[in-house]
Amino acid sequence: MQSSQVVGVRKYVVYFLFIFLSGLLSVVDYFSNKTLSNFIPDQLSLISNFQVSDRLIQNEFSNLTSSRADLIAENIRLKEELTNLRVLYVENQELQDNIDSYKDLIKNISDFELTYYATSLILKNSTDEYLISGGRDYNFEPGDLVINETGYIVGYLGEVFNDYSILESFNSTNFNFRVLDENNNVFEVSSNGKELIFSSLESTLNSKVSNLFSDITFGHIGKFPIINLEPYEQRKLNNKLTVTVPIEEMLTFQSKLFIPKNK
Amino acid sequence: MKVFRLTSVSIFLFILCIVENYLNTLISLDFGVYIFLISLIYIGTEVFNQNLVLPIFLSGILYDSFFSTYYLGLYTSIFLIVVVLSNLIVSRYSQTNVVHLITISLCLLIYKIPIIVEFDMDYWIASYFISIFVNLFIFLFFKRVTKNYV
Repeated sequence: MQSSQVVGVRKYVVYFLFIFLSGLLSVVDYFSNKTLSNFIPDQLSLISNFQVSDRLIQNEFSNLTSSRADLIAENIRLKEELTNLRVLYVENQELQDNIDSYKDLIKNISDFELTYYATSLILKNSTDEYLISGGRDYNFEPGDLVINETGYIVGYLGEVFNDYSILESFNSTNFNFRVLDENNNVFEVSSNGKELIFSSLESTLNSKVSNLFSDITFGHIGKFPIINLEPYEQRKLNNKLTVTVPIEEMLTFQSKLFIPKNK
Repeated sequence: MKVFRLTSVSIFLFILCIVENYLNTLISLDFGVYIFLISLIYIGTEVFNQNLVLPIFLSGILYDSFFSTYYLGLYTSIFLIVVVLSNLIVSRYSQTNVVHLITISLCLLIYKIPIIVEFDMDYWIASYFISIFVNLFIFLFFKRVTKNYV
């Protein structure tokens, strides 16, 4: 009886050892300020390698032509040409989409002194955080604003790696942001995952608040709108204004995102 | 040969982990399809052995490094605990649907611990309960398929 219990426990020993090792790694990572967890992403650009290169698609048939009869070779050449045309068509469509999204962006932004780097969603991880393309390779830094194609802020960069970054979006409980209204009143924005909470820091607000903007006084790169609070209920508690806004829009693979940077 | 087997199992698990995240990014519904969690529970309940500890550990380290903002080792230990817990439950009780339901509920709770700690209950509770039944259905279907064809 006792020996069967010992055998039962023994089969987990290796697992417990590795759980202990994982815990140890977490402790080392905590005290080394995440040097350990950033080591692999800093050495390897894995994320950008997920995309299949156009060159590979274009040359799909080219290796087959060498040892075939002329007719087959001609057939393959034509197929290759067709593939090239298809690739060009897809590329053209993508460029057309980019032009459209830039047109929307241009309509809504006021600052043309900045460079707008296009970025897109890579995936959402298990903790509902968004990974977006572009990192240190584009000189992105933690805190850089991320805007959508209408010029509205959708978040800021939380962590930046070689070729990807982690977006602190409205859904993130770490989301903490300061903005100004049109009368230069300061608001603090936080999130509980489902709602955004806007709280004024000044206690002398009388009129209704409408548009809120980022500002260079908070270290932001420029003035970008975040939301119009007019349609939402604005409550006054201890002379301070609080507005709760449900988060409705989710980012998808089709979302066009931009990161404004100085030229 | 052993190194090759270990490497290929690690890569396969890591790919499953990425596919799970891509899938959940794509579907954007109020529940998750956790194919990687299901495979961990399958390892725990059906093919549990000590040779799989290193591939699970390595896939966890890769996931922690590339896709998580938490400290290195957190998801690795979550993955290992899920396997141990699922094996512990099925080795103590017979494998009935109720036991599988309990196993998936507990393992999903552990799997989602970073979200549970960080967010309020109303953020995850509905999604958690729906996910239990969706993933239980997938798990039972997968188990039946492997029983018939393997």
